[in-house]
Amino acid sequence: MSSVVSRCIFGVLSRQAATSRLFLGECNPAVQSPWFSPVATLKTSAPLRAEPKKKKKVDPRRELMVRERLKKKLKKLERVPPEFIPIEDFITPAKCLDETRVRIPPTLSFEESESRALLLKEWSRYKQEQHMAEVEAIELALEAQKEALEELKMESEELYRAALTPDPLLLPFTHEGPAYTPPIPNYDAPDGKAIVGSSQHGHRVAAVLSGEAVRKAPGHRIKRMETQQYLSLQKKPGKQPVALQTFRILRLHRWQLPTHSD
Amino acid sequence: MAAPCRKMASRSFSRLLCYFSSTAVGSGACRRFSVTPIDRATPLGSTAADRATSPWSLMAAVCLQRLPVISADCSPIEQRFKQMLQQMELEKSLVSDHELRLLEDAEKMSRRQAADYDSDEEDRGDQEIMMTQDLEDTWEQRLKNFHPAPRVRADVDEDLSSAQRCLADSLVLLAEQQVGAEKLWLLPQAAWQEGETLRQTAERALDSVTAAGVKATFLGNAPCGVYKYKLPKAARTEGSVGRKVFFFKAILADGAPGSAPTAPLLWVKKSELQEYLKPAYMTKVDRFILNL
Repeated sequence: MSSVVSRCIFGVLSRQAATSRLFLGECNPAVQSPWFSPVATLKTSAPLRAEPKKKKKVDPRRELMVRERLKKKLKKLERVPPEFIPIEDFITPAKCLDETRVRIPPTLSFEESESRALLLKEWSRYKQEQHMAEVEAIELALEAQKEALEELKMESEELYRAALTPDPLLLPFTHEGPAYTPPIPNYDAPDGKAIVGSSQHGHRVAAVLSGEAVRKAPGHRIKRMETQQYLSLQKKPGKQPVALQTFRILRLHRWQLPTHSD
Repeated sequence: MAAPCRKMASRSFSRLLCYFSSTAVGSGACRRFSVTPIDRATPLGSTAADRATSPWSLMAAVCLQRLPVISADCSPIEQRFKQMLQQMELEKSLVSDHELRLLEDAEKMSRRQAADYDSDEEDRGDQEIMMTQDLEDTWEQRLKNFHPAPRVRADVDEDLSSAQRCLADSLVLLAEQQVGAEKLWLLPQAAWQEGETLRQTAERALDSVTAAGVKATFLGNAPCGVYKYKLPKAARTEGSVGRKVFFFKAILADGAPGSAPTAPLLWVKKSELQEYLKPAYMTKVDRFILNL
């Protein structure tokens, strides 16, 4: 009977100690006491006890490795030389090679072809005369100016020097050239539409030069500038999860970008 | 003895310097070169000495030009050549979209008028509402609704004092000024005063003759021509035997003239200059007024 009592007291004491230990937070889950079941240990996990999680040493290294791998991928892709924007004026559009558009050249009579040849010769003579007259007029004007400067030099050195100084306010000099009809006084011109950079490349060139982000059409390689621009635009305050960054970058470097609305 | 010798020596030396520096590249070199201790010793004195010994009094005049506002009419050979060129270009060209549409429409019309026309085959839901000919008519209508200003106005052309006459030619400004005993038509001029450059004199001449709102751009600091004449023996003094008039070119900027001019003015073409200017003056002025 005394052994039972002592056992009971011991049990109570140990339970009390256990509970006190529980309250003090010194419970060691490794200690397998008959009073604690594994279920009880789950209830006493880290968040409940407000203990900071022990970080594994592999984590920061793993993040660094991931970032380095991404940077290497970027560099490899950036090393690709950017494709040149084609000069559209040098590419004959397909419309011009259409056979239905070819005109039947008319047969010219002998008189007609003769008159054309004679007119061309007359024209060249006329233009030559015009040119010689222009050259002569310019030479006369230059001679007049030289004479004026010589006379001025004979008069006064200071004024001569002042005449030779260039006028900084003269250039750039603009003057509206002659049109077919004179300007209408107080004319209110109607507004028109201006198509700026209608071609794909025109848009790209304009956007790249102004520093904006460019939406890529599928099937085109991205140029270095645009990649950096896109990445710089993605920099938001606060740290972004690595997985999301990887996803975005991989989307950028695919050959076929899915078109999504802006 | 020593002082005038020194002055003469300094003047000739500075002239030598200027001669060498004027052949150098650019007038900037000339400017730098001229700041020498010799020149610095007698800056104003040399000018005063120069001016005192010279028998010529200086004047500056302005050649203000109003450039053409409209393109000139084509001469007969230019017209013939223009037509021939247009014809040749049309023959060498390809058929344009508009012409193709016209041809298609013509074909459709001819098919419709044919006896065996099956309208069900031709008629589709996406038929164009506008025929090409109607499009052309609308364009013609729009062109007719726009009224440009007339190119030639005979009444304005005859008014010699208006700056809007003969819009296809370049005009020169003439003013009637008192020269000695008589009033002459010449390019507006003014006498040079101490302390200003000749260009400033020319600007002053222009301001004195025209209204306040006239804007002109002077083309550089250098004169474009010179006319020197000796005064009649009665008017000659010790200081001035004759006068040298330096001309400066200016271009009239577009804008309303504003108030009326102070002196009688004329805007004349180069061909009309002969009627107003004296022959000797005319030969000098004719050289630098370009009618290109």
